[in-house]
Amino acid sequence: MSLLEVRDLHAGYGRIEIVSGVSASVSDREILAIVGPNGSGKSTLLKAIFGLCKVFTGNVFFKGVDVTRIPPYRRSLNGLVYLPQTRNVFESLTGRENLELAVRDVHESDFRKRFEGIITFLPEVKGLLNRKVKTMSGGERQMIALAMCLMRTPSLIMLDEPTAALAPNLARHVLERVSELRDEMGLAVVLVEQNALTALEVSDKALLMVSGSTRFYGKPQELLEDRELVKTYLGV
Amino acid sequence: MIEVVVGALVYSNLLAMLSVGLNLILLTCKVSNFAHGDFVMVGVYTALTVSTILGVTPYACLPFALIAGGVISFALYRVVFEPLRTRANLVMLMVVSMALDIILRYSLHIYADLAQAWLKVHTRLFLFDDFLIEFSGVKIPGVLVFSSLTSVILLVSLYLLLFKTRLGTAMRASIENPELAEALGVNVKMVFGLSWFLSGALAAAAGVFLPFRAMVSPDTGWSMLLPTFASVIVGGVGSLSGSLIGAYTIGVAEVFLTYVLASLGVSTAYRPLVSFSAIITVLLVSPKGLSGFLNGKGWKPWKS
Ligand SMILES: Nc1ncnc2c1ncn2[C@@H]1O[C@H](COP(=O)(O)OP(=O)(O)OP(=O)(O)O)[C@@H](O)[C@H]1O
Ligand SMILES: [Mg+2]
Repeated sequence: MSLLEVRDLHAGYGRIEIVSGVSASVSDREILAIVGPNGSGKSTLLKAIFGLCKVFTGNVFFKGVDVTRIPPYRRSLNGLVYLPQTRNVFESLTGRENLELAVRDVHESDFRKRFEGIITFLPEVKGLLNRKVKTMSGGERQMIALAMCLMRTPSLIMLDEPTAALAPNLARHVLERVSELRDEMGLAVVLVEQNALTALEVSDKALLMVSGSTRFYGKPQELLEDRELVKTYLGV
Repeated sequence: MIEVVVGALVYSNLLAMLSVGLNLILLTCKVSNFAHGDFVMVGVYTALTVSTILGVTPYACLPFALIAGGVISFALYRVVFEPLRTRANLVMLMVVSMALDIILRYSLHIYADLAQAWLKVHTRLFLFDDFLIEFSGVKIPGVLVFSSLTSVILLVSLYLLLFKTRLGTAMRASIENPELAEALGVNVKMVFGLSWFLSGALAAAAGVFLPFRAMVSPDTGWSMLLPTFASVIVGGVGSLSGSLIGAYTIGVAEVFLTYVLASLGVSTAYRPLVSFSAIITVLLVSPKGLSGFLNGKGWKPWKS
């Protein structure tokens, strides 16, 4: 069975259904790119997978276990990590405190080891440690947020527009690093991206969402070759 | 005059424990908890019951009161406020807490009736007997010594818990952004439950000392609520250290102004005037309370 499997998920807020019957799966060492127009339900799908919004019907399996009804923090402890699109850092804390918070449950020595790893991966983080997040720019916050997720050494990481606030060359750098995560650390990734073309280049699977439903699900190359879909929904 | 100073200090100690707890719940769950005063009475009746049964001074019953107040407060959270946390708005939460106040108050009345028959002691309008403690020739009322020690120890422990432990960091993070904390593996439900336990325990601790100074009955909790809210508002909603300053400001002001008024021949029944005036003045002049006012002036020692 795949690492993550989503079966016919219907989810939303209150009584309003936003995601209508999406199915997808992600295996080890795989990147799933989720693309689609604004408001098509990409963020809601991630929240539903993580348990932060209402799931009406359908199931989420993680590591072969049905996690649809378990609280989000337990999914996190099981190795699923989610980077929200907005409000993804603790503003009142410093960069270092944010990283420490992400790994409250590990030992000091482990913390150092992971920390070294993060610094080589995202050297930009080093200069941000002692600053309050409140004083950081959007891109700097995004760096801290990404570092926080990676500190947890997850087996699957769900990133909601990790490059949104980054300069174009930095955005590309981060996306390339995401594929390194897969190749070197064996990580599985679910990636929601506005830079659809770059995201599809580095990914192994693609899901195109339009108004809450699946419009395309398959190989990224096939999606890129479908001129019609690319033109209508990805705006290129 | 000495008597007034002792009264003001003891009263302020109790307000400090009460207002910090009330503010903690405002921070974590955004509930203006009108049932907070009832936790005081849980402390009072736990102390009365245990001290009667064991035949010890009520001071020795503090641990029982802490547990009773904490457990009842935690239970309210699990049964009522946890399910409502992500569903209800601020007004609904406040109204629910008012309803719970009534329920708790009548439960306390029922308990008082039962306890009176069972323990053969007065359970309404009673006082605890105090004793004097001598420090190098100066005799100090026990309630001043014990309430000061208790509030200092409990509040310092709370500070250490919040700012020096990982659990405290998790609580502060959950207050700022519960979804993100959850995404990073924090059991936000339990962390908030802990805040209710602490809040109820602090209030019940105050309850152990109250009958040494004032005659109490199950309705007394309600009259403690107004000065507690006043302390929180004067200090600033969301600032725990602000609540501490607010508590001593309100406590001292209330006792001394009442004393002055009484010496002018005015009835002491007007005592709540102090709290009400403080609430209105602060909300009009500086809605974030003293801490907001001072922070705005570039002095930031009171960050919650
Ligand atoms: N908390 C919420 N409560 C109610 N409706 C919401 C909430 N969040 C999002 N929505 C609605 O759900 C729909 C999908 O939103 P979502 O954020 O999932 O889209 P998205 O694909 O991530 O868009 P974007 O590319 O702009 O991030 C929108 O119509 C939005 O109005
Ligand atoms: Mg989105």
